[in-house]
Amino acid sequence: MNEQRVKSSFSFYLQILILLAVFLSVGVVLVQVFAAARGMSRAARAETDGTTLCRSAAEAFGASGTAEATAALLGGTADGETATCYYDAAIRAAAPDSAWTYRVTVNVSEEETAAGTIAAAHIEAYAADGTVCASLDTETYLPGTKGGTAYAA
Amino acid sequence: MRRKQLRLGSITLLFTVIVLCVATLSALSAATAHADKAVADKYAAQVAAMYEAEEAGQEWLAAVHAAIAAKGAALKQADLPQGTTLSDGTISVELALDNGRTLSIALQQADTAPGYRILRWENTAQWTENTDIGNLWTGGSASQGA
Repeated sequence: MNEQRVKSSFSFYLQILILLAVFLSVGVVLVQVFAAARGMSRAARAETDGTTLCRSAAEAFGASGTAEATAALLGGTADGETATCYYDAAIRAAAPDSAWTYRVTVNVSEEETAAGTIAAAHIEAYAADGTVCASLDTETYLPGTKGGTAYAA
Repeated sequence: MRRKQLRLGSITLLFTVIVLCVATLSALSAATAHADKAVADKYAAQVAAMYEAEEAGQEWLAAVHAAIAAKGAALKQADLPQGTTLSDGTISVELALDNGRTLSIALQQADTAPGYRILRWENTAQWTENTDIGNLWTGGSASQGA
């Protein structure tokens, strides 16, 4: 009678152990799925924010045509032909020494044309860990004095 | 003293329900994250295409301005870049890009200085309406039994 009870108890605990093992292995797989989903959501957020910041920088560059003026419009700093701006998680301008989330660089190059200058900008948005979130290339034409001044309608 | 017996069947059932719930939630979160990434990629591609068209437009503008500066009031159709039309002092072009975007620009030569006035700068994308509504009921009359 006692031996039968021991056998029954052993069988019960063995089944519990198997059940827990299965449950834990499924849990590990599901945790990995959750982690992958979180990573993908973060990457999507960074890409969307980075694209928005690049677009904003491209519009500022289109309105100015130089690195200095672009930096002044975006609230950043300019060093030669490169403008650098920092932003927090809410895409608001941040100080370089603060805990910024994104860094946007605008590298400007110029090419003389017959009646003016084509200013080209390569814009890149970086996350705080240094990875590139988004990039954009744009150009703006700056009419020279030789060709007269352009004016909007 | 009688011991209350713990049944393994109920525990298994509880664990299975919990696992099914968590698995459903994980599948939903993965699908949402995937959709978010797809939308982000699409947005980035659209913005890149828009600025690609902008680059083409700025280069065309530089070429046209060079022609205006060189010829002034004697500007002719042949002096302008290919695809550009000149009509009553209005210079226009439709720049169709491979990415499906079209940039429509119209300029007018300035009266005094060898400059120009921008009349139109429209960056548009081709849109194809999705008419497929799957198995959704279209509103047609259905025969009803007596």
